[in-house]
Amino acid sequence: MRNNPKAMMAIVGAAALIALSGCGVSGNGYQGGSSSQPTAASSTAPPSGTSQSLTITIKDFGYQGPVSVSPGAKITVKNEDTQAHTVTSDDGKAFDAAVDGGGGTAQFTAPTTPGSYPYHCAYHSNMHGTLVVK
Amino acid sequence: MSTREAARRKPTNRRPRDILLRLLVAAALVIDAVVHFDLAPGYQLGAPGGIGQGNLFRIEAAAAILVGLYVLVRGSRPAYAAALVVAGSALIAVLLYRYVDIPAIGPIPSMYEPVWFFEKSLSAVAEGLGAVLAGVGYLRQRSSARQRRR
Repeated sequence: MRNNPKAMMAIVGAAALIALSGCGVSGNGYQGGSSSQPTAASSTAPPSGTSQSLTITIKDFGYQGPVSVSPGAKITVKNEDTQAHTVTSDDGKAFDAAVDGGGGTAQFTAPTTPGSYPYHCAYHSNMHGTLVVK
Repeated sequence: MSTREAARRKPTNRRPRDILLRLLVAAALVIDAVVHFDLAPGYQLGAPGGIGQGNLFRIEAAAAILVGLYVLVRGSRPAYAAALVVAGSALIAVLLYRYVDIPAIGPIPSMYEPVWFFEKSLSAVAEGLGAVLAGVGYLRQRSSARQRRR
């Protein structure tokens, strides 16, 4: 290998690839780890049923939409990606909405207990979001 | 025959440096396979059209395992060439579908995913390193074969 210029070029290429890989861990769909249990913000806050309508838009493997909603709010999920996604609470109980790709929509009801509800896509484990009910 | 001459005539794929190279190529392919097997179930549900993205991931992972074993056992020119094809094609695919919104083509579903995350980056780096090292192995085997013919 010492006298082989092609092999040396290949090794330099590998080193460049390693250096470039540091730029790869990012993306608007990944927000790091999150708790798997919803955190109650106030256990004494009474649920207040509401007809408030909100939309979570899924685009480029990321969630865009309301950070906080009222208890019991009707939430619409719109998927602008070509692939199907879900909005699934990390605890697996609070809410779970699957939505087809290519403009598909789905709806779910926000929990009635105030708190912070981390959620994810059941199909793409790098997609995370948090819904705050207050 | 001198010791140096004997070492020179020893098959290239049995030298310590070449055994290390074989291990590195196989390791890169195993990382690639593990990531694809891990992601396959979810991606199959996300893009079930045609053959399904998850099944494509499984096929790629199985090919990576088989070729990794081939490189480990033989370390020959064909083995390195196969590793180069498997790792290189996987790297091209992940880069293409990261940056270009390609529609479904026949049994291949649309797999555009314009984000990087840890597992995806890890497999892309493994594929790139695997392809480069397989190329090095291929060239070393070829130059060794030429030397033996002289």
